[in-house]
Amino acid sequence: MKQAIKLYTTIRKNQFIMASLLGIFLIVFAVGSNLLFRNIPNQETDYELGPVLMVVWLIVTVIVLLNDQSRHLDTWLYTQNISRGQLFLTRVILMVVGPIIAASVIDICLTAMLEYHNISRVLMVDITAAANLFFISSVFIGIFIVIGPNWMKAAGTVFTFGAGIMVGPIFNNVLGSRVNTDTRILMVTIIAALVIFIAGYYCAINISDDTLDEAVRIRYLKWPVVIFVFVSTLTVTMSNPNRNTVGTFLAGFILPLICAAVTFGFIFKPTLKVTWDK
Amino acid sequence: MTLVIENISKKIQNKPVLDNVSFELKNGEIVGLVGRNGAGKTTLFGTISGKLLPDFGRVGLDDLDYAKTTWLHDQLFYIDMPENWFRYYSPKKIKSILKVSYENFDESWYDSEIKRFGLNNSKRIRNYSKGMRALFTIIASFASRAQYVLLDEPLDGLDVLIRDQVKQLIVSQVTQHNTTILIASHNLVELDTLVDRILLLKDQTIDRTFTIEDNKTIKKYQLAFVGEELPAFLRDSGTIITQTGHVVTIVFNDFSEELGIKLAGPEFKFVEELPISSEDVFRASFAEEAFAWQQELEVES
Repeated sequence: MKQAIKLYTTIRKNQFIMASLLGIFLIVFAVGSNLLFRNIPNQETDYELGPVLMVVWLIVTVIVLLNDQSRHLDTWLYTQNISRGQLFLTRVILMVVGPIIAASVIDICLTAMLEYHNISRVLMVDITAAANLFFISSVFIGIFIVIGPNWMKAAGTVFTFGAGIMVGPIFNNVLGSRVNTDTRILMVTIIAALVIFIAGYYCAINISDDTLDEAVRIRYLKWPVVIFVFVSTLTVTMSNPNRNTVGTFLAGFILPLICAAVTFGFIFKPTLKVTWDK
Repeated sequence: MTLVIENISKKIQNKPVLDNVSFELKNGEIVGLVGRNGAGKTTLFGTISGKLLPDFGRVGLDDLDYAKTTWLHDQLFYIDMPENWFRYYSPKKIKSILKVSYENFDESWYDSEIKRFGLNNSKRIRNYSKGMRALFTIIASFASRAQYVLLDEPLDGLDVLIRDQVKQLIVSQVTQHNTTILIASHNLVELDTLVDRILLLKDQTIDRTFTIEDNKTIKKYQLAFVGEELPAFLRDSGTIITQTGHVVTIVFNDFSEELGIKLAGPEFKFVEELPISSEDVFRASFAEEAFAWQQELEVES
């Protein structure tokens, strides 16, 4: 594990330096604004540095991971004296858990120094953001591992989060009735993220590099992905309250069917032979 | 230590590419790997190095399972050619990474070779010419001081002078460090001057292992036949390399005493055995395919 962390940090040294500089810039900016506005009456000094830092660093993570694949670095790392599992864990620790914890610690320390009276609220905001971003990262990592080409990873991520944003409120209503406290929601989010990470780890150690050009790299997940696209799009279209007649109800199936057909085409690459020969 | 490849099978997109491939590589050997385009040479390299996971079979270092003993992976160097991560970094940065990756990385040798070949240390590899990129990859491979080095078309794109230097590098690497080198190449003439033996990949498996010196069954002849038509048995039992009038150069894949007696018969004005090369063995091994193409061409014309 030590070797995996050492090797990956050596390779990605410049990106880590860049991310740190970006972080320092944001910290200076946030602290500067806080000091500048704190004496102005009725001025909100709530800068929410922690979540901002987490988001910025996780965007760097996404770019770095996509870059690793396009530069064939993944391919080479599989041949090195680190296992696939160690590489997966290194990335999760350095690129997901590390930034989330670092951002929270920085935010809490700065709040303790500058606005001690706010510390419990900032702590809660950071924990909530950390749990949510940890979950979002787990979904991205899952997509990153299961989907092959980079542009499909990007499209898959946009689709999944887009559908998530639209379907989210429906699930919140359902979940809200069962899980009635913020703490429980946080626990469910963290456990769901951990489950996705464990599934990602299992896939990462069993995926061979020859599937890199395939839309879905795991055979057993090809149909589930098509079904997921269909169901999530259908949930979005059917959540529209105007679908109360047979015509509008059936029209709600058009977009899900198109999306599922396109996904099916990319995953299974069916070849249609058009010929006049009998 | 011996690198053992045992019954490796691998399908890519449900198509068998490797089927029960088995061979061994001993210390200090230079071994060639030849096969037709798309025969599975690069897949085999990928599977040995751990980049690809085999569907069946084992890659081992003596009795150890190579895939499971990741701490031993700095004993083998392989990098995809020509698309690899080297392109995006300078030799200086690559050195810093390889130093972490390979315990015995020879920094001073790396620096001296970079200097000797006049490679720019701070320029990204993608800005090098094709030949220089290939040369750099070989320098990086050998500087790793890995016991096993897999080279995929290492002489491709190199001019004659650099090619000689690279061949010298390969030989000195083996003599000084007892490194084992597996070279995949289509340049059989160059391979003949370098390797101890050649593995021929055909029909998804190692069809034969041969050395030119020890070869007994493959023979090459130049002969002149008497009649108007080429004797039919020649086409059936050999691969015709050239034919000018009545003079034919032919390679027999499985030369037998019976064939020798036929060649000594009255159908031929003269018969002379020629020295054999790897190209001849390659031609003989793919005689059926070459014959089928020849037939197709004759039908078309």
